[in-house]
Amino acid sequence: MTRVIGLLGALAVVLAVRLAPAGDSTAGASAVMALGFVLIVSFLVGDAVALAGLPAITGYLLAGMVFGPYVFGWVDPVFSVLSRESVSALRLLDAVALGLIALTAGGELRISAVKRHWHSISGVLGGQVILVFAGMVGGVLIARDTFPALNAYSKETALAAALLFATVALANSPAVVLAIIQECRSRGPVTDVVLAVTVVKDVVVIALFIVVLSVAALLTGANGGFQGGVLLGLGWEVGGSLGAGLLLGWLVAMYLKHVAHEAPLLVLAVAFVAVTLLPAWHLSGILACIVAGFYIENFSEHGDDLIRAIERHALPVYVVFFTMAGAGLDLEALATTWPLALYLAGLRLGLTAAGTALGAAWAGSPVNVVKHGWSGFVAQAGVTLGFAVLIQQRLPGIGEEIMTVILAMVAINQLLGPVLFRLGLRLAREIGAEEISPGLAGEETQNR
Amino acid sequence: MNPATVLLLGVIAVLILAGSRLAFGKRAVPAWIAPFFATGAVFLAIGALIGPQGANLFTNQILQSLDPLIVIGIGWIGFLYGTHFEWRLLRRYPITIHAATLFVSLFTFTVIAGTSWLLISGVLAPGLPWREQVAAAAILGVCGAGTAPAGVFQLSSAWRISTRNLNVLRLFAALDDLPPVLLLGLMNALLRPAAHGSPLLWIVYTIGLGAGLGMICHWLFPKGDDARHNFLILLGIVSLGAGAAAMLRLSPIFVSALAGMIFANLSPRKETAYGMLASREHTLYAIFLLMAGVLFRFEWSAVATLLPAFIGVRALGKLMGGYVSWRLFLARSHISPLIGAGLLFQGGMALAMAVSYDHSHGDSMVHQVTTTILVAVVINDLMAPFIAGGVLGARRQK
Amino acid sequence: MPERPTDAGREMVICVLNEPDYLHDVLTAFLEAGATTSTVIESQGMGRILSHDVPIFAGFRHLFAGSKPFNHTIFAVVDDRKVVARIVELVRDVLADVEEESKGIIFSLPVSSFAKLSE
Repeated sequence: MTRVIGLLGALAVVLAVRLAPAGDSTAGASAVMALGFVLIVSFLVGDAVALAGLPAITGYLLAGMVFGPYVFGWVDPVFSVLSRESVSALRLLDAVALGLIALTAGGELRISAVKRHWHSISGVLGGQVILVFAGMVGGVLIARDTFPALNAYSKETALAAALLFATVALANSPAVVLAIIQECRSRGPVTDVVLAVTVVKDVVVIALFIVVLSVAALLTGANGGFQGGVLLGLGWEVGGSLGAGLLLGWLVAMYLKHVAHEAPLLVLAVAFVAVTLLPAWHLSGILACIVAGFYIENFSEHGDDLIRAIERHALPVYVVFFTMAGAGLDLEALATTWPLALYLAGLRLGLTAAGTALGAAWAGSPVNVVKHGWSGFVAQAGVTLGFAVLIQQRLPGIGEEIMTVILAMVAINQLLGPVLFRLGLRLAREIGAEEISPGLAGEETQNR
Repeated sequence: MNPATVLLLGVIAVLILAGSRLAFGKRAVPAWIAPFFATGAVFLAIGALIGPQGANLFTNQILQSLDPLIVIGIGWIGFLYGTHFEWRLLRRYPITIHAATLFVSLFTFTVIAGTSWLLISGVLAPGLPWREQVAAAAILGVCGAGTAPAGVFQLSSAWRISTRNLNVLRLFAALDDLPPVLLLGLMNALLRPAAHGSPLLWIVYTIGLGAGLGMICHWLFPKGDDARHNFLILLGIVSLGAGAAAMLRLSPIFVSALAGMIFANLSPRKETAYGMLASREHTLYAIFLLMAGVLFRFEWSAVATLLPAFIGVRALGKLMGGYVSWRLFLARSHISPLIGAGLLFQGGMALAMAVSYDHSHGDSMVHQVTTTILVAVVINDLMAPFIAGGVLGARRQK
Repeated sequence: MPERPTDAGREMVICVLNEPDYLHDVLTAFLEAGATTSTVIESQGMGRILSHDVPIFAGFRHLFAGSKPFNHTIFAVVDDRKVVARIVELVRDVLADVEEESKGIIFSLPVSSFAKLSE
């Protein structure tokens, strides 16, 4: 009850400020107020939905949607606490969040676990890449006559669109996977395999996307078509990011060893700098952070220090990240293209489940991975949205429409994914390492 | 943001991280320069050196992106400050001590603000609207009235001072920024353009916002021991309060401090919250000072006029205020009548309040005023240990 | 009074716990491991007294720092070293979730003589 009062109080503060006759103020002030509001409200909503057995990040997403530009903002702009300006100001935190997520993903990836589940990982990855990619291309081409949006395309354009949808469908969100794993404190084969596949697939999908985008440009005749330099650039991006990541990991490990003081702040700074700085040299800051985290966990003695430093302060960053993702979910796109988006999301879901199960079964994985592993690959977010924007830029004309459909599909998967993954982990009985600890407390001890 | 600046920011961040332990830890820094480090003035100096008037390492865009960080920093400091004042603890001290602290603080404020007002309205800026003249004079008084506890708490390591005197000095330093913080809140509510409506309304807004946030924090502060949840709620409350206050052009320091005070007196979890806020105190302060140094515009004209007046009048105010309050409240005790000589340290809240003023006011006196305060902090911290040690009858220990 | 010089194998376990919130759990762990009685005193570490942080803002609460117990010291005499090992293991489990850098220390000394004051 006190929580509801507190929430209403926070809302009252924001509305009172909006209505007060105070004149202009500094630019930072409104962003800071929005930040405070997001932290408080999303946290409470996350806690509330957790009571219903849903993952907290679903709560953050919902809070973002409700207070974002579409729901509250639609009633009256005054009520849009997360106005477009505050949303874009808080987007600065995205760089930090992505870097932290990547560092954690690398840091959670233990060589021992990867070795133990090597067959499952390669099986699931192979199954997904083949089945999802081929199935999505086929599924889009078959459905060409059903959906007016696709019907208008020429054969080549439709193939380009199908290839792009297929690549994008392959991606899933490391952020969601990590957030759920950390929230549930899950341990076990499903957790290990989903995490490892997600991280490796991130790299595979980025590479695939660069190639497919060039092919699509060739098919639609945009921007001079396929260029040989693309492969060279790809090599530089992957190789260079690996190198940068190793260097970064070594530097952070040195810091943790020799200084150790204020590690959380250092990690925040590193995440921000890597994600903001590396793209200037056409390197992937996210990939570099994954490698850095992996190096620190597996090749230095400070893996635990790193994870602890992140865990202690990452929650606010994640809360803001997912709330902003919720506020940024394109509900307008969903409203206009929902039949096609729903079809694509459904197709992707089925193919992902089938690909994961077949790949896992073929590799002789534990039965839980075969049965429940797919649930971890549904959620989509950051990288996928980045793809959508790139498609729009590179393919003038059709890019706009493809982007809208992808945004709508992401909205569906983003809302569905966390819930499914949590459910999958529960069915696989991997949730709650903390519940195992002995519960002898409560008995009186003899103290003198 | 261009790559070189991001890299530079990263390097600076690491330097601060490594440096803040060195500065605030008890390392072997020479005694004469220790207060300079302990009050953090050293970061201020570094900030000024790399700022627009020094090496000019930052683009305007970066300077602007510091804006939210400053607002949060001010809010954090205000809230932390407020959580100190718990009635249960305050009433353990006799009323005479509180009266003496209050008297010295208000006396010093009045003397500084009065002198500054005469200087500003008579000599420096006679043409300025009266509101701005008063605001500038008042902020000088506000920032000069208090004492930096860091210096006082370190005094005993280099000087031998009787325990009685030292205890009173510590208590003074711990409490004497409270009247200035209240005055700051009042000032922001009262000295507004007439178009904003009745000043009374703004006092209600200030108090309502601060008290409301304190209650919200009390209601929402997690019952469990998960440090991550506690941190999140504190950060949320601090940001909401400071952001809201800054948007209304009220004092974020006062609003947050009031919220902290209300919270500390209501919540059973105040120790947890205080521990969490205070554990970041030094790093946060270092970053905050660095940004303050970067944002600050040095105004030479102030150095010749306001600065000497400020330092001189402040010392005089503390000494006289200390003597009068000794006569009034403390004469029976074994405390030195010259107790005011131990209260010249400056920093902490004074700097935070100066930065807050600099951040929210755009009038023409701002740079002169902040220059005066920031430079005075450095000078006062260098000089205070010698005056305190010399006057209060102590020799340098081995 | 029964007196056994160089009591074979008896150990005194001393645990300095910096996490007041976990005192109850740690005592439970002692009990579980076989230390049926223990003594707890409130204590303050040298580090906290010597290098007490210099307050930056206000510092009013710092004035009360001296009167507040910062840690607990637990004493227990146990029958043999195996119990000590089990205590260490269980206490570590209890504190596994604590994210502080220094949670405390635990060590044991051989007991050279031991007697109960009651018959």
